Amino acid sequence: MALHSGGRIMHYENVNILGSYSLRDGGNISIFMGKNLALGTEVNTYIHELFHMHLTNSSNLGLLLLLFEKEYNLASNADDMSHCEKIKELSEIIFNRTIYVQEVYANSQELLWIENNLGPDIAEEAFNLKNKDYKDYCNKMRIITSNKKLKIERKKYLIDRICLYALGIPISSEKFISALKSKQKLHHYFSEDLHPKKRLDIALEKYSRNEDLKEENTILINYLLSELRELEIIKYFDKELPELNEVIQWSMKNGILDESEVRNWIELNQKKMDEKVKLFDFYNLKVERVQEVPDGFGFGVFVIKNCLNIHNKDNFYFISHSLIKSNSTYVSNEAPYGIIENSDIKVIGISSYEYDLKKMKPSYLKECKVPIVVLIDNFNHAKEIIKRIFNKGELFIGDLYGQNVNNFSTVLFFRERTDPKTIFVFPTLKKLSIRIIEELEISQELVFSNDKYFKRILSAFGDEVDMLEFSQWIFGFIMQSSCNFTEIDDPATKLSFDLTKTMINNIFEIKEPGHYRRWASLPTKKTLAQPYYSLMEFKNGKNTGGFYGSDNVIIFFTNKIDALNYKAKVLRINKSIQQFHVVGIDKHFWNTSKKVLSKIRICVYINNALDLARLVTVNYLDSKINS
Amino acid sequence: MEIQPEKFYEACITHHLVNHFEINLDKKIYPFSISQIEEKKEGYDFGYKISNKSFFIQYKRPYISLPQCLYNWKIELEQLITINSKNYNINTYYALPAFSDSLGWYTALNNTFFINAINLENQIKKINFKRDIKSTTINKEKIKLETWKEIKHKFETTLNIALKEPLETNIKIEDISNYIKGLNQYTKDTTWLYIVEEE
Repeated sequence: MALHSGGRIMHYENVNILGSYSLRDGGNISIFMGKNLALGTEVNTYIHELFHMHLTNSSNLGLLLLLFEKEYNLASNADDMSHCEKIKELSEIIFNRTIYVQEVYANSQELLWIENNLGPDIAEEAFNLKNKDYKDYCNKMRIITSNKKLKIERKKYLIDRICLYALGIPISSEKFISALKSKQKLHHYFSEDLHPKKRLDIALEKYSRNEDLKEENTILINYLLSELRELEIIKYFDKELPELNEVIQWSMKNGILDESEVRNWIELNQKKMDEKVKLFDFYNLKVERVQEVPDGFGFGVFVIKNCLNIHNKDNFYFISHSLIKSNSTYVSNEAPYGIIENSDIKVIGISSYEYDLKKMKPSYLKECKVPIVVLIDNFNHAKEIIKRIFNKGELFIGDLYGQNVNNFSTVLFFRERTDPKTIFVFPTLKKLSIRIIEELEISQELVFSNDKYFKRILSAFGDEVDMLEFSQWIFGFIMQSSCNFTEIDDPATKLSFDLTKTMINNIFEIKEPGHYRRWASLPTKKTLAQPYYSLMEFKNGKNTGGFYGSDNVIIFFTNKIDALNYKAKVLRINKSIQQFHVVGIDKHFWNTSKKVLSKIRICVYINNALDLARLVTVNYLDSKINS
Repeated sequence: MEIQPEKFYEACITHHLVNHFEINLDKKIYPFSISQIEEKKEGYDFGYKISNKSFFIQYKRPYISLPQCLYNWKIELEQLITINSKNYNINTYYALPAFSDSLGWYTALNNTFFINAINLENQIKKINFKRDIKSTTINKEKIKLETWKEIKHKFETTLNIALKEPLETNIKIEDISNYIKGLNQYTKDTTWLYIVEEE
């Protein structure tokens, strides 16, 4: 994760950046959800960045950059900062010489993809939206893209070949390896015909002369690695890495891939590349550092510990989101943690990289009075947390919309039933949210935001008013938008439409204080008895909160068999017990609901044969359950 | 300890910046002294489009305060405010060298602090509690300064996809003349414009 390995929250110039690709962590894509949703450019941005990733993964120079990135991370973990600097500098020199080819490739391929899938008019619209530089990149390949005799597939293939040629520097040649000895030598190496930009021109000339682009250019990967070790450019990278091996195998074929192979490669790698797409990325936040931390943060604030922006290591980095001169802006500053301890905030946000998954608690925050939102920006991280909650506890998970709504991006909300004050939020591609649900086989657990059960996830906020405020805060933050519910064009408003409607639908219903907290604590069929069982009513797989009882007395059982036998016995005379299921009464439910339960008579079943039960007091049960 | 004249720092840091842009970033930058532009402003033509990555640097020679050997720099508030009032969306940085020996030439970037002029103005106002002062002496204990390592990422190009820029940032010679207006000769003499080459 960038923040851990020395990442920095970015300050940008005033340019509308829609997405970016970087080599971090083996390559990842950031798509700025709010702006893309507002402009309807999500798909274009996604495709564009995927093509950057594809060219990196399949070209010689891209392979070398990925190798250096891995080495950098290993050196960084070993605190070898001088080695990190050395690798970073070499990477920077090489990377900057690939940018032109990368942009020509991604812009041209993006437009062809749009033309093929969405039609030429939309492709033209996408072209017109681009700034001048990006139009120039597209125009570089006009000789191919405007050729009406060529089919789109052929055009894509030719651009692939030309750009792979441009980045097809013989990285295992002695001349190149020797150039890696100093930055001046490397600069000199790239100074003439071996500069990728120049090689792109050469490839285009070859193409226009109908010449073959094949080069005898096999990468001798073992030789390359041993030479790089000899030069001490590689000191830490010494193990087999399956993902890199795969890239190496494909790269070794560079120059002899045919059209079907390229297609297969893209399909094979599509899933892997999708996993690298981030719809929210702390590393890419455009923050305005303010001179003074505001007196109040509003509804909530994000608190980051590991961040290079911090000058004093004892401080935390606080990021909140507000409107400055009507522009939606992330404002930040560092301060001691104490400044929020006595503030009126209603939620604290943290990055999932600062959440200890083993202990299931924040790594750096002290005991918090308010709910904590854990914002996840990584597919595998999200999947791992969901899997862990599902396997070890009871998962409440909600997606914004069902599959029938064809949206490109979404936000998954989830939490463990017994920990209402820790809410996980994962902005992601719709296709990735579907993948998580399918791969973990948790469709039974999934609810959508138009379903009242979605509110169980947000029960810590108590009532609809606070849930709405939370929703406005988190969507505004993720999408860098005002999330003003009255502006229908606002991207966050659009995305949270169903959720907002669900809240507003019964905002004026009168409920007892603590209603949602109790409702969300109701046992599920997975709840473990601590130590009692009881019979509770279920409709559509969900606990309605109704106990089975007779003569206004509800029964707790000390073992499951007694409870099941009791149900079977009653069933013979009263069919209505059919919809009651045996559930465990656990500490969480008991402690959340005991005030209400104290108004009801409860007996504990003691003898199955004689159907005997004993009335007990709430204090008695409390001592047993909380012992 | 003898401190080098401003010209030394201007030459040295400009040399390293040109090299950094050319070798690391694969881009050319073209340095212009503000005074040089002013002298020739009639019919002056840079020959280059000034992209939004171009920037100004104002150099400040250091003073060393004893006994703690702390590097200090004198900042004229009026000049700083004048600079910040011209909004062309072009960044101005103060270069604050923290070395005095001519042998420091080779490691100059790593021993120089940089700070954006707007940030500097805000910080100075904060520490002076809005008192009306003409100049102030700053050091790294008073003001949060950034090292070259911390600011160099601002010049990096990344693989972004961007839409039409909301602001046209190509500035013209008239804008530079306007920028210079109100600056005293000393400030003009120590300020450089670095035009970053466009694709």
